[in-house]
Amino acid sequence: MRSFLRKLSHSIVDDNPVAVQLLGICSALAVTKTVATALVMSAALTAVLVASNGIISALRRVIPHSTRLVLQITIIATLVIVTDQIIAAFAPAMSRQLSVFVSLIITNCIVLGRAEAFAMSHGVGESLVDGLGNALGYGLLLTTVGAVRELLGAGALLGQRVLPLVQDGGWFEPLAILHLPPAGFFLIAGFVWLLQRTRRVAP
Amino acid sequence: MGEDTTGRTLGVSLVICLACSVAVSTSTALLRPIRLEHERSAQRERVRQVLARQPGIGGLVGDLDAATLDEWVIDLATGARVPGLDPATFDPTAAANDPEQGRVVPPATDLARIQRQARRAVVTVARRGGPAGPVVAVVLPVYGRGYASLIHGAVAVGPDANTILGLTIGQHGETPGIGSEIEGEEWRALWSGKRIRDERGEVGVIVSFDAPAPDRAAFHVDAITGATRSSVGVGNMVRFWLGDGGFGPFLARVKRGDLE
Repeated sequence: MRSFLRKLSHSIVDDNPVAVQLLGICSALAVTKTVATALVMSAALTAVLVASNGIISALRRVIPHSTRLVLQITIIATLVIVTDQIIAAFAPAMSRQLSVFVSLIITNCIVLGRAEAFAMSHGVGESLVDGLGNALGYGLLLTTVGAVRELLGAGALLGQRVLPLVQDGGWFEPLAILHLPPAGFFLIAGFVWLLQRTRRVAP
Repeated sequence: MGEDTTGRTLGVSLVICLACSVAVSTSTALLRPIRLEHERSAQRERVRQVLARQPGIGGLVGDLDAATLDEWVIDLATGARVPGLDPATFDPTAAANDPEQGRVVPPATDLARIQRQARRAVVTVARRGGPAGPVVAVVLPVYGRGYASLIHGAVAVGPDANTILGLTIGQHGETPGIGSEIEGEEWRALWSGKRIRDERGEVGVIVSFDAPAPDRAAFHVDAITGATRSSVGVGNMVRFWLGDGGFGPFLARVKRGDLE
């Protein structure tokens, strides 16, 4: 249990896929305007990453070396399409907000990266933990960035008004920059810096 | 890791790909009813929105709930209602591809670039008050090719059959942030109040960059900068569907007040 937690926290913090491995930044920029989209996106990635790591690890002795990347992508694409369809069926409004970014999980480097770098050479159990850790690391970063952007960009959290806006007679003037994609860059860069300063990890 | 002979490689790859395609097909088939239900309610919601937002029928806004929204299946060629068909089960895409229920759109008139169209369509007739009240709008489903995808929408036309009350855009796959501006309220607002046919009886409404001649302003909708093909695509599909190959005969009936 302890080693499970240690592995998990290693993936989440010390080896955070976005801030340390610098993977999956594209979606981290795009869907972090609000906490809700960040959460759903993280949940979708968690489902895909855990399942793909598990399946690919289970098949690692069967998958032929020469076509392994193609097959990994096929498996990942299948999982992503199914996930996308489930979101579209049960949360159509959220699906519209996320637009193409759920399908773009196929090209999210975290998923293929963990499949190739980890699942292909480790057992199913370890790969599941690795998938979960990386997905939570991605989710944690995404949600934090989403929270900062929604709080300072719109004065709300999960759609609930937190800071009273000037336009409604309050005191808070929303920072428009945080509503734009560059804000994702700034915040993620901040996290990269923070992690490297405090954890002394190699980028 | 087993030995990677060509045969084994091909065999394993084939099996994995087959398993994946079965998984995708299964989930598509299982989730289709739910998705169709969402699409239908989204379409109904769009019809309500396109009606609720229109200043011209502002009186309808408050009592939209009291208004009667009838869905009819109509025959495009005659514009007449086809009795006995349930609008809820009519599938325009399937009908368009069916040799009996669909027809080829002649390339010369295929502004919407859809190649085939169904012979029938589901329209919504909005009446003020009860079922016998006056018709205040008809809402027509339209679709056509934009830049990257098939764009679906709905056009609300006033009881004079010649004024566009509003346009909504539903499902489309245009580039997010660029082509997707066609669904933005700002651009769609430009459509409200546009005239459909000019004094010669031709469909005049058009999306373009060129400043219109003063007497054509009532037909002109500005294209979106950076999304020319998406917005012109919407213009063309509206032109097609409001024209003789689309809802022309039905609109003629609306104008005559000859709906039943």
